[in-house]
Amino acid sequence: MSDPEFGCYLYGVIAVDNHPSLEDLRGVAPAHGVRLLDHGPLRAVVSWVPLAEFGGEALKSNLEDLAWLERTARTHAAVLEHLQASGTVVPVRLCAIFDDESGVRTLLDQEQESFLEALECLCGHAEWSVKVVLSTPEDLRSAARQSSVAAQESAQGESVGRAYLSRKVLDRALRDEGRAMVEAAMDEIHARLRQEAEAGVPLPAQGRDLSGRAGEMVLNAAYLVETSRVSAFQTTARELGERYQELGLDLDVAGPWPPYNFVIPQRASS
Amino acid sequence: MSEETGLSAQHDIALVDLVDRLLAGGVVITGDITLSLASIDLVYLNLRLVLGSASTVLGERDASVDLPVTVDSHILENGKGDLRLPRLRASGCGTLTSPNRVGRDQASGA
Repeated sequence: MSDPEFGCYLYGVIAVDNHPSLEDLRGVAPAHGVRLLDHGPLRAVVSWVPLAEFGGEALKSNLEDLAWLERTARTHAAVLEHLQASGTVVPVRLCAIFDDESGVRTLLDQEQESFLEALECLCGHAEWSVKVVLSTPEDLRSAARQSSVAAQESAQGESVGRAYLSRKVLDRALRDEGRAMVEAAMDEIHARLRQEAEAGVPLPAQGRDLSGRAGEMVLNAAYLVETSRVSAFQTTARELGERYQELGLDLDVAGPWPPYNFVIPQRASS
Repeated sequence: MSEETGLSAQHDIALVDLVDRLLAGGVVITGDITLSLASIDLVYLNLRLVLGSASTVLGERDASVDLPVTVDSHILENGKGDLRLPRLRASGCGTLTSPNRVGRDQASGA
């Protein structure tokens, strides 16, 4: 079908021997279901979308509409999660839309090697996200006070005339000490979780307003974890979370996600 | 922690978590109609600005765990060149299996 009023929306790519059931799956355009498009050893997961909503300028303004974006993002994610439940999926970024099916076939043709390689590498793995939030800075401050030499000395008393200066010095020492403790904790957490995973990447921390969480995010990372090692990964995460709770840090694990963060190109630096 | 339930059972996945993954992750494909990569990155940036500003308690730090602290650097990294090929990030296919073995040994020995 090549219809100037419709485009072909691509969610992800799976292997041709993967047979997910798509019956009750809703597409990003509710009137159109999710379909499979086979080409050689690959299978694209697609649905039709009206260009009045998903074409050029309309798409650009819709992406600026939070309600539209949320609906589309949740549907896109639901399709990928459904696919992941029945096998390996290479997730495609939101809103990849082709004029028609032949555009998708051309892509599968040109990038066949890369998709096959990714499917092979990702087989039996899922992405897990780990976020650490400093939720109670008071706890960090008192932990820093206990380990800080400056705090020990100031507790032993001092002349009243020097109190103001000392307080400033102490504040700075506690802040530095707290920062160093958080940094050491993050290094430890990332290193330990990385050992339980095939790969791990730090992501940009979400700002306080953005995350909706109380407290500041000090670690936002994604790990690619083999299915058979998920419980070991979770156990390690739980232990780390308990250990660092006394610094006022909350560790949160979420997953399994489709491997969104492990199919984008390698950084130039790594 | 939420490890006991699958994602689909969690109805409260924050939009920002989804957007972080769906606009910053996933294979980038230049469809016929798709917004250009640059436009997507602009949408992503705008969204973050709309939802709130990105900042971290660690401020300008990006040392040992290599935390990318600004949205801009992330976008620049992802926005470089033609990024259509799905490649494993952080670890090439060849290195996927061997570090795994090392990691397991270390983990069990620790």
